[in-house]
Amino acid sequence: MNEHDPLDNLLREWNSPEPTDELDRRITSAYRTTVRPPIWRRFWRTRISIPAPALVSAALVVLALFLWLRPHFGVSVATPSAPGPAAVQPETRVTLADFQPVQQLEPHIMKEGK
Amino acid sequence: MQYVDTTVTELTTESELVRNARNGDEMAFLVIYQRHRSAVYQFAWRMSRSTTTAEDVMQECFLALVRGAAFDNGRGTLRSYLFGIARNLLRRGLRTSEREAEEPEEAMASIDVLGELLTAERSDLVARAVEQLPPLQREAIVLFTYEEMSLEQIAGIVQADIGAVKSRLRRAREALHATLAPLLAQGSNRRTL
Repeated sequence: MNEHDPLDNLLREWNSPEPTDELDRRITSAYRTTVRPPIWRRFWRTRISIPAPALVSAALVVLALFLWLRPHFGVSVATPSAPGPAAVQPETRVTLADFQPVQQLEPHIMKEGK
Repeated sequence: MQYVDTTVTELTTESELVRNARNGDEMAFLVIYQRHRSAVYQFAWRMSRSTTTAEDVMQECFLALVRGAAFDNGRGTLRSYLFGIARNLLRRGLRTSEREAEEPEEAMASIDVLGELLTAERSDLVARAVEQLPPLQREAIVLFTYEEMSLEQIAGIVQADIGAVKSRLRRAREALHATLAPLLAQGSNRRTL
């Protein structure tokens, strides 16, 4: 093509308009209608932004609650219980009556190395 | 227009953006849209010279991208792909047997440039001269001059070989030279004054 053709300059005098904001909104809305992911996918992809100070404050509150509630749980767990019948370990006894012949024999042949 | 942080998404390939947009990622769609909205709209507007048509083509073009055939980065840029869709939509709307004709000479005679010089804007005359070109020549000159695409890119969009594109461009320029000769002469006179 001719590098310095005055036709090029003349052609560039023809400017075209830009798309309007109204059109942008229309197309974005049409996109949302066309490609609408299922609600469960939207839930798993939902993102929230939280300021760092708020996040730190929330973490401190959770930590304080944990430390405050821990002794209450600790009392019930750490209370020594008196030895009684419940504390006796059950004994496992096996007698000859527990050994019964096999009803249906299903031998499995294992190959070497398996 | 919603603000999109394109610096974050610059590292994402266009294929990934299209895939994400198809999966409902609105941010990915907006990145694609912001990158190509002006070019697609202006191409559609220059080809149709109708705001309504350009808006409809643009909407269909971007929706076709998210619900149409898969975009493959290896077969060209997303811009070329979008222009291909826009072109097909435009051709569907503009197709008439007369306009498909390659020869523009008869159409050129209908513009009386000298007669309109005093009343019309120069840009309007240019627009009308381009409008008078047959669609295949018009799209070649619009893509080459206004979208600054290479011959290879144009050939990919219009699905023709480079020789055909060159030929269309040459004939379009010859026709425009003939039609706009008074304006070109006026321009050169201005510069010499």
